[in-house]
Amino acid sequence: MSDYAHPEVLVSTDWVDQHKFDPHVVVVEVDVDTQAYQEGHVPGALGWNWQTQLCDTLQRDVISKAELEKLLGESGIGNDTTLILYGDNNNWFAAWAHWQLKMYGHNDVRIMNGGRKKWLAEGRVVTKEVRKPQPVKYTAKERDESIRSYLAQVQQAMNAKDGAMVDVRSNDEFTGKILSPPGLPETCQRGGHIPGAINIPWAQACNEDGTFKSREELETLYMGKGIVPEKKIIAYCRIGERSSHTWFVLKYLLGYPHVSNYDGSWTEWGNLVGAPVEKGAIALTEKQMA
Amino acid sequence: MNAENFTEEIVTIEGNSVRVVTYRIAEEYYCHVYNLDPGACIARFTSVNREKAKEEALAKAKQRLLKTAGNH
Repeated sequence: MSDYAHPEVLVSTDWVDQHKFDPHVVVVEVDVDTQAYQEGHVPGALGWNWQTQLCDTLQRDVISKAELEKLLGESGIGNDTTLILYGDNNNWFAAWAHWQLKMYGHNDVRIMNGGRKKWLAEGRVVTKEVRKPQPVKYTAKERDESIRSYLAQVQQAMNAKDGAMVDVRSNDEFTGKILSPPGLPETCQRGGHIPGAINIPWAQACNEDGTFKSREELETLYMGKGIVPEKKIIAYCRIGERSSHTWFVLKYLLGYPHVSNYDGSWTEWGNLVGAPVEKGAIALTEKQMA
Repeated sequence: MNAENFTEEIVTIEGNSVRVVTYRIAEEYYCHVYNLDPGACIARFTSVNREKAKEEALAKAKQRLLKTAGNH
């Protein structure tokens, strides 16, 4: 992990095993499958539900500052706490939580490399016991919007020479062959992708055991398709969670200076009246590779 | 207690490749079926018997995939 641009944002399963009960450390599981935590989790770990605790449940938005302060305070997380996130499916929603915590300025938040899958596959100790943390006061910073992109910024970026968009959905979603992933009912009005976007499915950044690929492999993956650090990169997917994983990879593992997550993503763009849509596979243009 | 017998395999249901994960915690076997991308859990079943957990989870996955087969 030491080759990454910011190796301090990752911890290994061994590290978590050794430090999970340290008083300044809080471990939190965030899964896409919101029932997985109850089956068994890292001893001492809390569980956050992304559908009810990490988003605004009334209007479509990330969690508010007040709600985040409440969640972290009730979880016993202070401003100086080392917060370790992990989850199922290559840390998919752990990355979503990480993105939001960085938006609100939590200093020391890290991801357990390999996530829940690696912990289980290694046969480590799990528990069904839910810890009751001692509440503390948490004060979040004002939201840092520089790591988030809104519709208007994406519309501008579409024609910008210094920008690039990476669509991290599956190839079938990107080309418009399907409107939503198999088994998921929420579709959109149009299939395809934002014109000019490059398709690099998010999970290509991971190894089979759920850990992140090496820096060299990640550089080959992204730079080989024109997603380079000199450009302002916008990552998007369907609802902004897979793209938060790619955001994490580009920003922290590769150290790109200008990366943002368009969390409106395809469920916004693909439903928008008059929005231009490209379908099918694309060949990289000179602009994209420049 | 420890997580035990973690297995993962790719199978095809109704023309869709899915990832089937099983493991045991204490006396129970858990089986989850995920679509390949994004990797969302589309079915699950818990049983004291591994084969039963897998069989039921795959049956539930098939039902769910059939419901979204028209999203093309």
